[in-house]
Amino acid sequence: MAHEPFAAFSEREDPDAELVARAKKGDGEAFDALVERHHAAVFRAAFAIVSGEDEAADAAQGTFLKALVSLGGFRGDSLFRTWLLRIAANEARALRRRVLRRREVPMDPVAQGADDGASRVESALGAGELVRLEAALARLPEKQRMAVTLRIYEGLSFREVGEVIGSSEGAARVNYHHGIKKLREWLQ
Amino acid sequence: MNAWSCDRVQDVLPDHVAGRLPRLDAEAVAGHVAACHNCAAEAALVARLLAGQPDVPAGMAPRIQEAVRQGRDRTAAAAPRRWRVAAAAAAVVFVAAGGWLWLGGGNGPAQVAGAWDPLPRDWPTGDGMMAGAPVLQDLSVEVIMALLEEMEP
Repeated sequence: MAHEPFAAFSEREDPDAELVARAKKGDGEAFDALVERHHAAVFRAAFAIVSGEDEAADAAQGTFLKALVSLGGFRGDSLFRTWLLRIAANEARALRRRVLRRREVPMDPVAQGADDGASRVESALGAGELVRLEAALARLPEKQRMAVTLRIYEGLSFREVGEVIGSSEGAARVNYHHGIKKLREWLQ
Repeated sequence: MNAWSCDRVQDVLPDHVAGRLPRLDAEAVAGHVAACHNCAAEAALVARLLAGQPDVPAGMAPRIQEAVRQGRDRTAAAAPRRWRVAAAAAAVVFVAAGGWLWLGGGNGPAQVAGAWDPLPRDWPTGDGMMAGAPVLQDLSVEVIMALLEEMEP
């Protein structure tokens, strides 16, 4: 079960190493290139946590601003992409907390999704494939949703997924497979 | 069915569906999926999820790059100001310490015979910095801290 037949391309060496080194020295073009390369993954990672495109875009922008400030402290212990996605997850959670406080909604929208997820999926039937998929994903607990989306959309290895969601490689694999199992059940 | 187990195949289905697997592995997985109903169903779900990933808003990268540029500019503009404040704060502390010693304050290491004294007691007068020392000497730490805060940009 723990066998992984190949190392994801990103685990052989960090493809961002050169750009990161240049960006650390203040090279703005290198940082721009990192934004260009990773903004989509950062947006999608944030999208899995916050509710809606605008909030995910805000979280993505906040992620890169935080990364700019913290880049000097990045030692390369993990891949730059993993480090960045971890910032994105934290930024998105912080944004979600701020939004909820502003709205004075006492319940986490993800937890809310877990409660009424079935009806959301059912009501979305016939309303389009994307809506159905989104509703089903929203129904998963956050770690399972993150594991599924990071693994499928971004091709992160289970080890990288674990680094982003704050769990071991094994726990990341379990979260992924539990999430997939539920999605198969709900979306069949 | 070939040698790949369902667990092993399902671990790599996202890479297989997205075309990220090396050719030999891709062939092995494809062979397994063709013969395994369960893995085929999971591959179909993975393909649906991959196709349904959220679209990135148009123009997002340039917007972030612009925000980063503005953030960098603000940081660069603030840096000299921060340096001036830090230098001023250091000068205040330095002068206060000098004045304290000049006025005979302190019974610590500076008074120990033979000890190295970083601020000699016979420090020449007429130094502009020394002129402020007696004034600062009269100020409490709280007042000095308040002054420093006022110097913040």
